[in-house]
Amino acid sequence: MMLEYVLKRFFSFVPTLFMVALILFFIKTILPGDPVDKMMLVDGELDIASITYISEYRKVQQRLGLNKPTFYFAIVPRSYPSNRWDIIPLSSREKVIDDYHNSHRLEWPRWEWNGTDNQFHKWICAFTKGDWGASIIDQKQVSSKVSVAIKWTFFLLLLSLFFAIMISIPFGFWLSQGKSNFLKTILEKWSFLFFSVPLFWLCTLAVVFLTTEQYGSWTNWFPSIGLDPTYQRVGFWEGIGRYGNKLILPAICWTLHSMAYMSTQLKVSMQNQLSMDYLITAYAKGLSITQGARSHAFKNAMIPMITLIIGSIPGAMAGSIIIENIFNIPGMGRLLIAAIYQSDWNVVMAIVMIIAFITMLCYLLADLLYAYVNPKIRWKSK
Amino acid sequence: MRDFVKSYRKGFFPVEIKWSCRILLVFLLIAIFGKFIANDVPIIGKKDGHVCFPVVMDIANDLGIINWKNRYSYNHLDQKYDFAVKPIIPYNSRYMDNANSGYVSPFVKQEVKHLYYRHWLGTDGLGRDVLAGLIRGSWIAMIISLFSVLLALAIGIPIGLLGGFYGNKDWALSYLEIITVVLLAIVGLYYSFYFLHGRVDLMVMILLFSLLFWSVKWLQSRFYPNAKTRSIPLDSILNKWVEIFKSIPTLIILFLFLGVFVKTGVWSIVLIIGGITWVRISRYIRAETLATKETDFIKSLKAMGNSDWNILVRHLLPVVIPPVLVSIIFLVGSVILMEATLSFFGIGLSVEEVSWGGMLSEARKYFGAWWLALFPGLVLFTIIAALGNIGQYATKRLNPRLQE
Repeated sequence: MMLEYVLKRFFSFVPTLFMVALILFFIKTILPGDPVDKMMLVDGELDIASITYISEYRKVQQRLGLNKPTFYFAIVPRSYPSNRWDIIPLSSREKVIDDYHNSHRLEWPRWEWNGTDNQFHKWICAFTKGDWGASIIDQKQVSSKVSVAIKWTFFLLLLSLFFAIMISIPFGFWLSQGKSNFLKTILEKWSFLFFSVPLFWLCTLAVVFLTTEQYGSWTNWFPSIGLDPTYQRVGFWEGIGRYGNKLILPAICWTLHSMAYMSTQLKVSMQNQLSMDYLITAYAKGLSITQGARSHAFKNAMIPMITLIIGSIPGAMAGSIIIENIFNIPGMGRLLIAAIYQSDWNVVMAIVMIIAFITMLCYLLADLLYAYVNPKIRWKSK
Repeated sequence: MRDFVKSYRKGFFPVEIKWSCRILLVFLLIAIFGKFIANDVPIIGKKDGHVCFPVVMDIANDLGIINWKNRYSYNHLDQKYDFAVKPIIPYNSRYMDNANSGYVSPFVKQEVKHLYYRHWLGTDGLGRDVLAGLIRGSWIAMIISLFSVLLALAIGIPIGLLGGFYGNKDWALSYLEIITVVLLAIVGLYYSFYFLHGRVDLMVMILLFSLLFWSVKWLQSRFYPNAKTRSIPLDSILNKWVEIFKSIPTLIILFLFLGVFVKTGVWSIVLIIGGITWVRISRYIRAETLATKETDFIKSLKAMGNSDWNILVRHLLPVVIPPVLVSIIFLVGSVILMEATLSFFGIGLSVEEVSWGGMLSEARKYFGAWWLALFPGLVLFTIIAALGNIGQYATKRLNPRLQE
């Protein structure tokens, strides 16, 4: 029953991922800018004035596969080119398209069927086979670039998640116990504050006030941010050994941010459990208050926490963009933003697809664990 | 609203909520009247015998009603007026004070003629006043959050209502109607992708197409009333779409859409944030509609022969909206945060436009500028905390059901 459910959910990933790929590809095709031009700029072959420019352009275009039609079919106006990249005089391409859009005349569409010999088909076949193409910027394989970055991201993420769980669970438990006193009220207020502090502001404050000597040497608690590019030459674990000290501050910021939320949620969920009838029965049978809270209420209160902790991983992927860009850590978030800025679409699409996959996996895992710890939920095959 | 004011006066709310409301009110006032508080031109000026209202002209210039040449390239501070009522802060958010450029701290001696011209919260690298920037930023935040949330509501409420009400089976179309819808969709997409010129065209197109669809429907009911129908799985389609949006974090979608386009501005941010966040609204609306649909009063309305439209708009909508109001408060907070994060990374708003996130990112260029790191973030944090506070309280008070 369970296997069936898992398989069913797993196969439902496929259409969603396909749609994500389709949307990404659509954005890629409509955006201005020319990958061929960018490639030639990198290769140092760009010289619009030269006679061989067009033939060179064609060569690079063929290599990138951009001379092919974009999608399986196309419905375009009669006089419109079927491929934007075919309008060769690069300087006038945007103008040609703009003129086209601004000319107030309607045209009958032309229906084109391109078969499987198109860019999208080529890309998605290669992608599913594990060939993610090369980055336009430095010609490296995308898979190698991403595999380096994903290690850094997940190391940082798991580190801060670990600390957040380790601190917030005892803290939230303690907050829910006994009468509220001055200390508890203050700490609760503080955790609410940390919960609503924008993550990028927290990080900026940490960077400005704790890593520089601008405000006296006593504020310079942490090493200055940013890894020098030698991290690429050493292995991942050696890199961690060498630059691990630079991960302390980002981990602290991230931990503080997620800890506040988790401990508040645990407290709420503990209070819900403590007001349940079964605890009154347990007390009536002679359990002490701490015993009841520890062995009965806490277990039940942890059930929603599991969903919350695993469900926070996708959100943390978005948080990694902020953290990694501010602290200059070579993870996925920084790679993604750099790739978006430089419209390096092979990298962007690979990273977004990975993030979408991880997100769906996390939701599946959360559902499974929730059902595992909560026997009230039955496996439904429907 | 009157109840809200009454219970506010009676001291019904706790202290934090009162303060949160006050903070939000002050924020709104500052955002709306920002041009009258911080501007380099006087509110009322008298020159050569006739009176003028430069701030009003400035607002009209921003709205595009009049064309004020050299608005930002000309130094308006040195203009002599016979009589002038000046704003509290004599700087515009774009005004570059060359004498005080290059990160001047609020506490050091500044190159100003008079205490009135002092930069109370310092300046940034180009000599722009931080306080004026904060005021302008509140306007931007208000505009973006207001219109994005309105757009999200405008898309999310109908879709959530329809999805919840009709489910997978109850909405049936005949084959003729299905073919009409598909054809119109293809033609509409084709037209809007290649020949669309602005919003009026879009409106006309939507009107025309709905007219066409209804006329086809009417003709069918007239000449072929017993057409075979097929149910449309509206709810499944909605769920699938929500799943796609859920599978990528919102921030990444925003970066993807806004990061690649060269020409962006406030309205494209509104369009894209609204176009993404309607999913949250429609999820809540759908859940509420599903729950309310099964109640007796809707069933009896159906039995009495009310049309679906009547039930949806006049009876279901007023019941469904109030529980969702709380999530709207949270949505406003998260939209403000999204906008700030975007402009922190320099994506979305144009370079001249000043916003809280953009000011914060200035602090990364020069670590000595603590005032640039502190104040914009503080304002942002205060607004978000106030909204979150009110939202949490409202969740607790109004709807214990939504508490998870």
